[in-house]
Amino acid sequence: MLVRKMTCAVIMLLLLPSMLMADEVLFSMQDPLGDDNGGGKIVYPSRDDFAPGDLDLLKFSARAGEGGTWFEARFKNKIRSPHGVMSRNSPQELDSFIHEDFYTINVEVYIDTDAKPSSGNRMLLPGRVAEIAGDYAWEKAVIAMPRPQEGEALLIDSLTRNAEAEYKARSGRLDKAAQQAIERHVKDLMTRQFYFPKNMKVSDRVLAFYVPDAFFGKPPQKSWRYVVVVTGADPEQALDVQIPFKQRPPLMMLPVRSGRPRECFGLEAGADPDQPPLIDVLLPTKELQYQILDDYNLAKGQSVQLIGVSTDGTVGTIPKRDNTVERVLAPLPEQPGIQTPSNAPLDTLLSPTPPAVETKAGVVERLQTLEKLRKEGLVTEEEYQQLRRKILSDL
Amino acid sequence: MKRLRILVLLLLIVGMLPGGTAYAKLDLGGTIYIKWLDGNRHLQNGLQSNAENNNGDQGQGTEFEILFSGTVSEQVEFGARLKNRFNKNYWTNQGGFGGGYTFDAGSGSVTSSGEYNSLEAQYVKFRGAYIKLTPGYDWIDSATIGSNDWGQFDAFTIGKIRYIDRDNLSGLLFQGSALNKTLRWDIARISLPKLWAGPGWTTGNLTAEDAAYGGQIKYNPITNLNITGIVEYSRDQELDATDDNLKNGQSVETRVRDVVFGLKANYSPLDWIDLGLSFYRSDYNTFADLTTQWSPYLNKSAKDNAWKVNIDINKTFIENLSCSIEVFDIGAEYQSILAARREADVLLTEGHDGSWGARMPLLNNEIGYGGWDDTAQQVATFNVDNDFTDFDERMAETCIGWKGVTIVPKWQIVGLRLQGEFTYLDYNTNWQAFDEDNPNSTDYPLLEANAGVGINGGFRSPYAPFQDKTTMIAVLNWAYDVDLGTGINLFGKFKWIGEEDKRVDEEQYLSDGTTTPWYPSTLFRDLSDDDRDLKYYMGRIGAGYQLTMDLYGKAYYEYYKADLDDGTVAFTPPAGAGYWSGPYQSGKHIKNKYALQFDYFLSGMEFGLNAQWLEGKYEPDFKGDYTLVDNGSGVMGVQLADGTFVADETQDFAMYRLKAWMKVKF
Repeated sequence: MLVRKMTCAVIMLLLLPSMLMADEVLFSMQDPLGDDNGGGKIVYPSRDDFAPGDLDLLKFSARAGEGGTWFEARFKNKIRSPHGVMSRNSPQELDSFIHEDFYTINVEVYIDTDAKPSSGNRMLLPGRVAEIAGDYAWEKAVIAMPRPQEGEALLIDSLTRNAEAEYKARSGRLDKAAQQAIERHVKDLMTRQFYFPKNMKVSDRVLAFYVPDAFFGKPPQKSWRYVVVVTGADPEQALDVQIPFKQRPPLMMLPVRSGRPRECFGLEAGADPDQPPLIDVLLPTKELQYQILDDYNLAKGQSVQLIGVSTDGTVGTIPKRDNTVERVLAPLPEQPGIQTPSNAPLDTLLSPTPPAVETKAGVVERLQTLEKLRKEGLVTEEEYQQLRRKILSDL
Repeated sequence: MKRLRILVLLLLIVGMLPGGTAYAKLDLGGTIYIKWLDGNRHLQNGLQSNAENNNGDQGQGTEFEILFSGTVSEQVEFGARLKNRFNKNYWTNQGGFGGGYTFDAGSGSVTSSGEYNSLEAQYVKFRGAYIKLTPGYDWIDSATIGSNDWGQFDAFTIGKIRYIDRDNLSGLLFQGSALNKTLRWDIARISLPKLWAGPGWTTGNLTAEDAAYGGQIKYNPITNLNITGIVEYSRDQELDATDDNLKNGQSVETRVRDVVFGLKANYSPLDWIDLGLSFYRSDYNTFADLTTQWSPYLNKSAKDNAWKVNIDINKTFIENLSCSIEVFDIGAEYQSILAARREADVLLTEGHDGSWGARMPLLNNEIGYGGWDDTAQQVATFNVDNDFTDFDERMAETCIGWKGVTIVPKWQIVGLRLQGEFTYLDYNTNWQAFDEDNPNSTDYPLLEANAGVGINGGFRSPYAPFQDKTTMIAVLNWAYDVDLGTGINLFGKFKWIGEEDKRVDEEQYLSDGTTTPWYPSTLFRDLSDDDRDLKYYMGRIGAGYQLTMDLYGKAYYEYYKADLDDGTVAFTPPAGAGYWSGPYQSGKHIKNKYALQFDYFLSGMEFGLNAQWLEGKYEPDFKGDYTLVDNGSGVMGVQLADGTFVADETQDFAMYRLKAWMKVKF
């Protein structure tokens, strides 16, 4: 009897905290259990530091902190620590160069703060092979990764490279003044639109990261909509070098490949190897996630379109594909005597490959390809006309 | 006709490849890792702080590897690795070019630098390759033939192969799933490495078919419950010398057979609590006359258990306070041939510190006075191997025989992150004589030290002929980020270890010097003479700062103090016993470490620097047990029974060491 009473007392004591804790929870959204397989066919890397459930997002929530917001992502399994884990690439322990207490997970949060269907950015970080539906185009992105400084530096590199390529394609040359203007532009984009939290905590299954209100301009609003994507982290980024037989590495993320590879995510038999490497996406049902991540057609130039979740955990209907969203980012500031890219939106800069210099021959080739696609019934008449106008506008 | 048949066969094989060559994809990657070691010991026997008989603290070298991976079809993928190692491949060798080939007949080794010395020339070696099949059948997910890191099992049974050996160990691995993927299984056959996977660090003379077999089932019947069952079976066979009729083939006999069963369960009844149970039983059998005590396994057959229970309370009555508790018992005779040798940590406790891990930290050999950075990792084997490591890596130590409890609370309050630890350790190896009926028994290996781990100890010596030891560990870690600039990361630590070993605690082993050769009664007057008492203190304070977007810097100071009273060094081990008693180290040890670290990241290129200055002193204390004598040169000191003279004066130590590295992964 005494033992039972003591057991009850201990349990009550342990339960007390959850009763006493009175955080100001801004929102809390649930994600289904067991949907950490992307479009339904992705399998974990066949190595010991990944197991099913590791990237299975169960809850995404936010609570008010002092001068900012603590976002929390809860996973099914305990979050793995790099402490004492050897690198797979060099004789070093991971915690000798990873300062955070996690190394296998990226949580990418793209926030539609204006709820305007035709404003914002649609591209995700390089290598994600997906975009966000126009209705949910984002204004602010928060990227929680094991090496935030390095991730931010690599993104700046990537944006800068793409901007320079775009500039060169338009202007035919790239001088120092233009490079400096591009640097300023990229820095401005990064400051306004991206935040890589440095203040992060790992507690058992929860990754919490702090975002100051200064980044959002105000505390998170109930009207905001969130696209939350979980990817496998690759904290030891390979250089983006163009050599034969070398695939371009995505930004600090493990890609997806056929079979059961060790160094990246694999696929079940029969699955398309070009599907996006998004392991879990915050959505109310597993079926909806599978439907969205399976809806792409590369031949038609249609990539996966993600949709946002409202703070009450609901989603609207999946919008009809719309490739004509107006990008409203401010153009690069013109410098006296310097021709800068007059239209270098973030979406363009996030494109995985820099735009090539368009020639008349290139346009002809693209028109011929489009014509062929129409004849084979792979594009509708409406899509054909739309794409034709777009190609011609590049002349 | 024969050619035609071969051609048809080739066509059939090619035809069997789904998708043909159009599907084939090849990915090429690799790493260049450059290291610069510098130090005031001026040892140039290897580009690792602690290499196998080739320690070094000097010079520059490069490791280069190429990884091929690709898919032949949707069902067939492959991978291979080519890599050179640092070894003695210094930049100053000029690639190993030049220099004659010389062979030292006395030592039986190649002694020259030059093209023919594989340790010094820039040889890139084939490390391993695999082919993986994913046939798409319901009953099997994949079959891997070839090299693997064998991380699919666990550190108690078949541990992941350490970095230096990775991809060197090959075998077969079959993996599958059932019951809607709630049940997953692995079956493996691993070729036993003949260099270390047997008593005496060998699998004997007949080695080619020696293998370990592993089976594992992971079952996830409900969301919050995981159950894993593991079995490992390894067998080392030799030619049967009694078989004199070779007309019907050559008979073989088993040298060593090891069977390990494991059962693990993790259950999370509530959101804030996790329960874990791991139980292993080993049945280890030797069938040969094994007597070499310099051995990583027992020389006798034995059965024993290892288990641990974990409770993680993630939320308590105080906000942001969590607590982990582990109760554990690792049997003195638990033996798993392929248990992890390093780069694994099977216990919650942080154990001892690597700074004192080398068996002779006061001497200018092995890793030297500074030891390894940070704390030790515990592994469930005494086949521990810390060779080919640098001082900035973590040392592994055996936990064979350990039993006790560890409590680790974590608390965050107003930005201050605290983590404590209290551990009480008792030992299953607390015994009086290995084998009372057979005092000269060679069943138990005797490795480097007679005091387990720590000062005057080693990292892989679980057995002492006499032991009655307890250890207590208390730790407090703290970290705080000051909101100034990009944020100053302050951190610190305090650690205390109290360790007592009464060693001989039965009068019979003193009164009768013939009972055992270890404790001649002429040297020990009473039971307390051989006692060991260690009081150890360690403190750390430091700060880190993101100096620029690409550059992070950290500076810290560590203080060590150890008061040691060790009684067993006053006697001479019997000749040929393989039992190392260590130098006289009773007294006070004080060590100060000043360290600077930088990490630099530029477009995928990484650079790191770790520079350390250590200075300290050792004040011997003879506890009034000895008479000071003149060594003939005017130095007063003590003449030990083994003939060693220990000066009665303070010894000063100073060490500088640096490691800078650069890594590019492509």
